[in-house]
Amino acid sequence: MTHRGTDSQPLLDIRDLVVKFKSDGREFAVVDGISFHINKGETLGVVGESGCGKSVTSLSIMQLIPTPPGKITGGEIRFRGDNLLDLPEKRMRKVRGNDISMIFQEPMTSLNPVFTVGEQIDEVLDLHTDLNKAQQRLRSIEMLTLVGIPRPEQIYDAYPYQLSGGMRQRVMIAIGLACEPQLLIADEPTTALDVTIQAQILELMGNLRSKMDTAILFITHDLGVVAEMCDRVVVMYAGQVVEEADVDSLFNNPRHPYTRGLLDSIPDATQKVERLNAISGMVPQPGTVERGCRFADRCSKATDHCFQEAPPLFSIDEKHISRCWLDKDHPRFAS
Amino acid sequence: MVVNQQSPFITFVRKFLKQHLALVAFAVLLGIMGVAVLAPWIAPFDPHRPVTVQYADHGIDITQLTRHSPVLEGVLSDGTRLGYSDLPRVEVGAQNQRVVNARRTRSGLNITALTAGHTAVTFSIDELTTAMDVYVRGEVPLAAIEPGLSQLTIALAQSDFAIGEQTTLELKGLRSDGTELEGQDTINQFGTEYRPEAPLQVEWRSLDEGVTSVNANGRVDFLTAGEGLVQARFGDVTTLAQFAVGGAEVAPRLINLSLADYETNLTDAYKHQRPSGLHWFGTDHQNRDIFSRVLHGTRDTLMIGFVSVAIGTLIGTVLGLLAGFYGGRIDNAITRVMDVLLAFPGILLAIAVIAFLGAGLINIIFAVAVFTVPVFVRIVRASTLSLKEMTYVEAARSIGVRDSVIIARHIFPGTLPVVLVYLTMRIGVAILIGAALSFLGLGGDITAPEWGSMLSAAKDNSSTVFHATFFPGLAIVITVLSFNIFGDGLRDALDPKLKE
Amino acid sequence: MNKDTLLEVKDLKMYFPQTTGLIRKKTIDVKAVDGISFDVQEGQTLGLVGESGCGKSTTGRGIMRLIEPRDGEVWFEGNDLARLTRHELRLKRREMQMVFQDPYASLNPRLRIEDVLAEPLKAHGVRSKTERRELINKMLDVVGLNRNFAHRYAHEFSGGQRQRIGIARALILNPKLIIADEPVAALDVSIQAQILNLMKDLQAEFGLAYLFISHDLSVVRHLCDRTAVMYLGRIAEIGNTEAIFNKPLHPYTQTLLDAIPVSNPRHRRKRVVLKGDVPSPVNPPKGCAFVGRCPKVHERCHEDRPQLIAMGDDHQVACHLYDEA
Repeated sequence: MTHRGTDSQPLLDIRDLVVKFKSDGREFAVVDGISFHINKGETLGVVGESGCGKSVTSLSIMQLIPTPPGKITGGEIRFRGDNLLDLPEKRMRKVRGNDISMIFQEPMTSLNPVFTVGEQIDEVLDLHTDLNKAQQRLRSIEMLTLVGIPRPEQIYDAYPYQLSGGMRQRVMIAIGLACEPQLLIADEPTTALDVTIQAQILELMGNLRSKMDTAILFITHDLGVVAEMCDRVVVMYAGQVVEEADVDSLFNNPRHPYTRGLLDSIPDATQKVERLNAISGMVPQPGTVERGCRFADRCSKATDHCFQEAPPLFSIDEKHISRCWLDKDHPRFAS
Repeated sequence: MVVNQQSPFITFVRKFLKQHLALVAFAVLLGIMGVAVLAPWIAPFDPHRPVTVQYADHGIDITQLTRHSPVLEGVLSDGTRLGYSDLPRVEVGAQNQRVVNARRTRSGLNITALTAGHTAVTFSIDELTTAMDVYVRGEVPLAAIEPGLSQLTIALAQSDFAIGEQTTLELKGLRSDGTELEGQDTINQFGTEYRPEAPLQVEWRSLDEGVTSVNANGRVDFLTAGEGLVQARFGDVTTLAQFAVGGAEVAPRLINLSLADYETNLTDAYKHQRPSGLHWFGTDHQNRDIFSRVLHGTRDTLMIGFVSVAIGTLIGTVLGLLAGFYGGRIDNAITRVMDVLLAFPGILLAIAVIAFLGAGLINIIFAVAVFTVPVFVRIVRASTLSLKEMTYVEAARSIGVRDSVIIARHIFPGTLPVVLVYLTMRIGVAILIGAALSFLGLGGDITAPEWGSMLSAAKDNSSTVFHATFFPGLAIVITVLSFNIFGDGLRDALDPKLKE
Repeated sequence: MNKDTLLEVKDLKMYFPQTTGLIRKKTIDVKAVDGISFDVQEGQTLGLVGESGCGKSTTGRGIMRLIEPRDGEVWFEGNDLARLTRHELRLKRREMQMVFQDPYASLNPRLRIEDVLAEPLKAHGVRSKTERRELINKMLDVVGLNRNFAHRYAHEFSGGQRQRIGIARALILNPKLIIADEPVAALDVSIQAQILNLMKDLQAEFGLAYLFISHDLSVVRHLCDRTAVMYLGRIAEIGNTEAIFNKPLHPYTQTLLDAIPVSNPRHRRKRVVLKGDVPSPVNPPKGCAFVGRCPKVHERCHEDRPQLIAMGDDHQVACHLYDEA
């Protein structure tokens, strides 16, 4: 792939992505018209609860949606200007791991237990670079050093079971970054880890980001992690983007009631509150909300209008959009 | 929020209904079970007795298949024909007495098929003989046989001759298929073709005392006055020519015998009848109806399958639950014993049990059960071990639920899917092993209509008789296959990991 | 300790024998819980927090005697649970119930909700069917579920609803203590808040005491009156929640608190990130368990195992930094 775009062009630009899943003979839009973009070197957080479609979105970028039952039925995913959805599988394979790589939540199962750590990093290099065996080894050890693994020469020959969860996630990051991708998709990379280990990994990712100038798509349900890591945030609910803003506005001036609810739901370790402002009810199953705002029945500020008509996105300011009728005085967002 | 409102059972049924092949197998199995129950009523014949003795009960007359009554007439020299009752005593003889039994009775002649094959049957009165070809169809199709010569006739333009006169007799032959052979040369040529190794030739003989003489070509010299009598012979078949020489008075005499049919096809209905409209699967070496035997055999076969696996499953499941749930010494003791049992190949273990207990259906069931137990102990123990670790089992313990209740309510139902699947699969295996034991003659009564023993009894003739092994074998294959496909379908429907 | 003490754990040890070696079998004890003591007052919540592998869940199971403790005493309402017979223990469990982490695995998928809730009643001799139904309906009301749900199967419910069912099952026998093992860890944030609120409401309504096992310090701070921080099978620091969160004494507690991502980008800070992993409980350090990762380690820590020292009213810490005081 050649670099065609200018620097003002976003690295990744998702437009109106629709992903449907088939179940029991019915089709549900699990991702229902999502649009967002990531600029070069930027860290974008995608937040939402389970079932909001955030992981499906990330798998769509890599085109790793299990088909069937899933299927991308609309929209485009432009990476450096090229629509990934139009690429043949053969070229897509070159993109995966090389231009875009991914790290997953479960560090215990993402590594193959029968190969050594070194072999698994070498494999990626073998696929995407011209390095010979000796060079691959050097590069792999360099990557292990980079992700802060002590005694990298020994760990190179170690098997995954000999490593702790945090170490494995470091190895996963090493594999993900081995080819210096322009985009790293991190799908809940610290969720399975302990707090102290999570802090290590977050610090590592922060350092690597500044060193390698890699854009990161950070998918998480943890707003604390988002606040620490991200430049901009996309909040998803029931397959839609409900709010998008730079991280400071989102936390200090949340517009969408769902975002506010999420922020209020988190107990704070720094101060004691008697009662949490929980959002009542549950996330609707895909396809069950026929009209109106998908959040309406859980929203404390919902009016009749909200149940009647689905809100569009409104532009609060240049970088802040929200899908709520409360902001109807603002101009509608046009992508 | 609420995904669906279905009990696990309904979900299972819905999933199972999507397995079309398994549904077919299930239908087949239901059919087989129906047959097992209804066999005594739907089987057309008693499976224990030869069909021939049952035909009368069924209103079936097999005499037309197995018996032929030739209509014999005598021809006098004056042309009159005599019926059987007017004829002197007829000698009947079959060339090959194994194939048919040919007899003379008061009312007529009888040829009864004995076994498959071909023979000529001759009918003689004094110097006159005619012959017919009898074909008996049996298990093997008959090789093509040239129709033999049945009758000779001498065409006489006149019968009065003066002394010193000469005449040459014209001989005509009739083959059993109705073709005529004109003249002695033609007949002789046929004799060469018919039996090249020892060609038959027409022989002439004068039977009177000096009145005539005849040479090899049928030329007759009339020497003295009196009744002249010349016989032509070709093999067994003979005919006569009568002459009045020198003006002698002669009484008409029997000069020829003729049959209404010179060829008849009979059937060997006494064993290995081939599949026909009457016997769909044919009959076996004792002439028992294989179809009826297969139907009756269903019951024993299924009984071996069901009962043995039921016993094996019951014991195996209980032991497996105990071993898995309590672990420790109980587990050790049970698993060691099962390891020993599993170390034997299944059939060998069953044979050992039979050797110990003696042959018989009940013992076969027991033998198959013995080698079924360890399989179930293993799978139930394994799934108990994993279910035991489920949080809901821990939750039940933390509530203070008794072990027995935990096993019954939380563990056993969890093992049920895998038990059910194995159960169906094992029934197939058990039927195979049961059949194998019967085949080896360990089933006690080898004459019983049981598929394995049927195969065993038919195996000696299997090179020539196809149907006697084919149909019981097919029954085993269909049953075992159905159980396996059904089991596969069950597994797919019960496996929670296999989403719709 | 106190006349209102409901549960008192004294020097509880939970070891798991592990056999190694093919020919010469050696049994090594994995010391999952290595001598911990604490107590829970009536109507109070004690939070047991620590990272995975610190032994906090094992402690809960040891108290319930779902796993037999190696050593130590567990006094519940004046009885030493370790000395009760199986039968007596079964009856005692009525007073002491458990809520589990995984709401999907903790409900038998083959049972209807009414059967799930009837199980404790049956086990503890509530024979009458109408009485059972009444109690079940009441419990469904209490945990905020529709009564009609009783006829449905667990798999029809979402994680939050299942956890409500799990709580109803624990509550139906009207226990005094509920041991909650990470009850919200598997739930989404918005649902987690609902369950936490429910647990608070139930505590107020029924005067329940909770032993709340969690890895999430924010949740512990929100819910618990007292907190015990565990590290590698031992208690590093225990005391009043406010004291511990406002003035953490143990270096481990300090880094643990420091490691929590703060959900406010304006408070981003450079934190002390702990090096290394939790050591294996098979071969723990001889002295302080935290010795390999502690930023304030000194020589003594390698040799002596620190004991809990009182550092004020209801605040104890096991660290040599405070020995002199």
